[in-house]
Amino acid sequence: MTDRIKSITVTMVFILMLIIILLVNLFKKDIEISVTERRILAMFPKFSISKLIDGSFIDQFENYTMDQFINRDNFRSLKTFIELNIFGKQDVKGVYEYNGMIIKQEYPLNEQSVLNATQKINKIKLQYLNDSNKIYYTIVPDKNYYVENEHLKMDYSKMEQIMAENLKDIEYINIFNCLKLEDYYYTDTHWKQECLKNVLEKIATQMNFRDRLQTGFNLKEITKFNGVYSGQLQVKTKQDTINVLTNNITENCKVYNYETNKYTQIYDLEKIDSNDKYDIYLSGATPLLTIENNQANTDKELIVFRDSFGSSLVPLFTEAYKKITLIDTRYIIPDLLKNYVEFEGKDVLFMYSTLVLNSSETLR
Amino acid sequence: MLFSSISFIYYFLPLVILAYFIVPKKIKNFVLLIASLLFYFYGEPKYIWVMLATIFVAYITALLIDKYKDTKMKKIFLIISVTVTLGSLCIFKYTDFIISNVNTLFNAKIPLLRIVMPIGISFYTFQVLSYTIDVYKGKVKVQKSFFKLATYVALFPQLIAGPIVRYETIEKEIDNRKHSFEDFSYGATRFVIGLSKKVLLANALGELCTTFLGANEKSVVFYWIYGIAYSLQIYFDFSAYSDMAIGLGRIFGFHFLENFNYPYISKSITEFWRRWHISLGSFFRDYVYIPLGGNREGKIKLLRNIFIVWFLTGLWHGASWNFIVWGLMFGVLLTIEKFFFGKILEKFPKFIQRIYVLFFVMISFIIFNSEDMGQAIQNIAGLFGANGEQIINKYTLYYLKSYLGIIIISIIGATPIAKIIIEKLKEKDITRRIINILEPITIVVLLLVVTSYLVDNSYNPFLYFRF
Repeated sequence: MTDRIKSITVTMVFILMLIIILLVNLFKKDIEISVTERRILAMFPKFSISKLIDGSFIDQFENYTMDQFINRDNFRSLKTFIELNIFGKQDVKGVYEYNGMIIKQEYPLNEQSVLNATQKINKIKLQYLNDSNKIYYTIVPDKNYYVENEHLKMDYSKMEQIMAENLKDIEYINIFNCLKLEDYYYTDTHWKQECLKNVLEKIATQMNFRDRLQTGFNLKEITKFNGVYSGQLQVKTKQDTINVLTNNITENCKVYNYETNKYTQIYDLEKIDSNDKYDIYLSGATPLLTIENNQANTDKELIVFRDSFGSSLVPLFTEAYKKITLIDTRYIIPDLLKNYVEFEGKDVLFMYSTLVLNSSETLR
Repeated sequence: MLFSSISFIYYFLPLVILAYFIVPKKIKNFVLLIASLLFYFYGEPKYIWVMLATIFVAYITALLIDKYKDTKMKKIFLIISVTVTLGSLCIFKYTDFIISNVNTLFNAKIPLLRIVMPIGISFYTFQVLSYTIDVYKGKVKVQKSFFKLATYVALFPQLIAGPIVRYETIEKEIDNRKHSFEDFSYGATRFVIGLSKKVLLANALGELCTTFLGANEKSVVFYWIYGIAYSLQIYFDFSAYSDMAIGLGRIFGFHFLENFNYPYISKSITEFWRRWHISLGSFFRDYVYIPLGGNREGKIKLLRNIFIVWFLTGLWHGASWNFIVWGLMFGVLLTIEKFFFGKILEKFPKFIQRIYVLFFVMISFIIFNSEDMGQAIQNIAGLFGANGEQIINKYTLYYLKSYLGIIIISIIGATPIAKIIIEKLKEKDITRRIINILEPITIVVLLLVVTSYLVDNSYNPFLYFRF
């Protein structure tokens, strides 16, 4: 190719590329939701002179151009490929791939945050609990704990130490050794319900309800599933499956949701089409729920302060209690609980993941 | 509007190119002016009037300077022009800095005015100054068309972050310029290379620097990684903008002068400043240093002139003492080189000379990137283990491994190695033809890769936008 032909080629390629992409972007239909990122995409902003002058129109337009770019998901995959394979980066925005699993590198330990979480737990204890309650806490490890490589890990021992030093009258149930990396989804933060046998054994034994768990579970496949990390790291991994553990009891329990004022099932199959299919477990994020077990052979009741990990674990406790109340203080102010929950004489379990404890500003 | 944004590359630029090349020659400048005003308005809707007012003052005063060129009145009009344009820069850029220093010195409590600095004011003010001073000196003819002068000052490729294009550089091209496939393809290639330097290298290095600054577990090695990474980041960030500006200018037929020439291969600080931000260095040389007498009026005045220039160079970069210290540090180094060290330095092996330059430049940029002098001293002390940190830790190793590829590519990219190899290969006809085939392919690939980063809303600030 001569210099002259090269100049013409470069000129034409550059102009055509820009104009074709402009036209495609202008005429393609805008997409409302990104399935891979599980979020609503920016749409063309409404125009007004005031929004133009204060810059908000332009900011929104910038987001629109990025969100609605043609083949955005493929471009994001290309970026991930280059970051990891060409530049040799160890992670992309703190997320990395390990043996086909996508893992968030939660680091470093935020000691102040853990301390803050203990203060919030102690405040609830002081406000609502007394000697009639048996109180326990457990920490749900994130996936990064189980990875054996050079990636950065928070100081989990220090986290346990801070919790222990500040929750002196609460019994700790250590479940770190009850899990392994394969017990978590490939593409999501959470653990798989069908892999929680050891966790259930440990908690049930320590909380003295193991004897009341008589019925086994059947495994039922519900749906294929792309977890929250699949959109954050555009790499090809195995697809996850949502399975549920059912038995006569779980199928007959009634779940009352105080937010929607409706009764549902433990496994809410209406969520099968939602962006986050993990919401099938107890309908996902919600401030206050009760699970009523009318077949129970006990009058015992349990109150669980929990995050989303509890949604898949607590259904396995149902046979052991007549009623279980699940409270997520990320969505409800603890002061309001006196209007809905009777605490006297009940077992109480605080279960939070390392992720929530390390960012406890979300707890109220 | 950022050059490295989807809105610029895939909306603004193709529309402007189409409009510009479709319209007749007579109204090409008008298209460029409208495009430039839209470009500025997009990023700075509230303060576009400041730029227009600055251009208007320069236009009127230059006409008056020209009209009264044979009288003493021309000096008065020059003083008016310089006072108004520099006054505007001072008000917007330095008011709060002056107030906070007065408060510190006199224990006063004058409230800060929190004036927002219009984007690009430091650059367009200097362009306007160069125009009026050159008209005063008779170096350039006065521009009688307001629209042409506005087109020059507001020309979007160089409006926001330079290079400081002097009117004399494009005086003829503003009236009459040629367009060719050679110029367009050179411009497009240069633009894409600049864009890639910015998005793929400078932004990644910026992420590493941000990680360092927010880290609780620093180590001696991490301080060095930070110093090296920031030196590379600022080079790739700023030179990338200049590449894009020069490239875009060439697409529209303007030939801007180079602003960077591989500064990190310099063998002295004097040479470094001949290769780094050339348009700023030459501005201060021609409009401050030489008018003050340069080196012709004895050593005392030479010293005075050097320190005035470097005080102003530091101050131009920002209304903060660390920028002034940064500038004065170069004043000291250049003075030492000029008076005795320069000749001693020449006797050392070249790699020692280069290490000397790289070390002091790195120290200077650590000062430059600090929020205050306290942080600067801490980050410099950390290089020598004076903060009591470990030599290296797991945290440092992780980030070193994660960014090693980027750092190595950046170090190679900061040298002319690739350029020399390509030029060598182009000497043979067969390899020249192969390179000619690869060039358009490379441009497409780079543009797609950059796009993949931009759609993902990555870290993407331009360091020199704040100046």
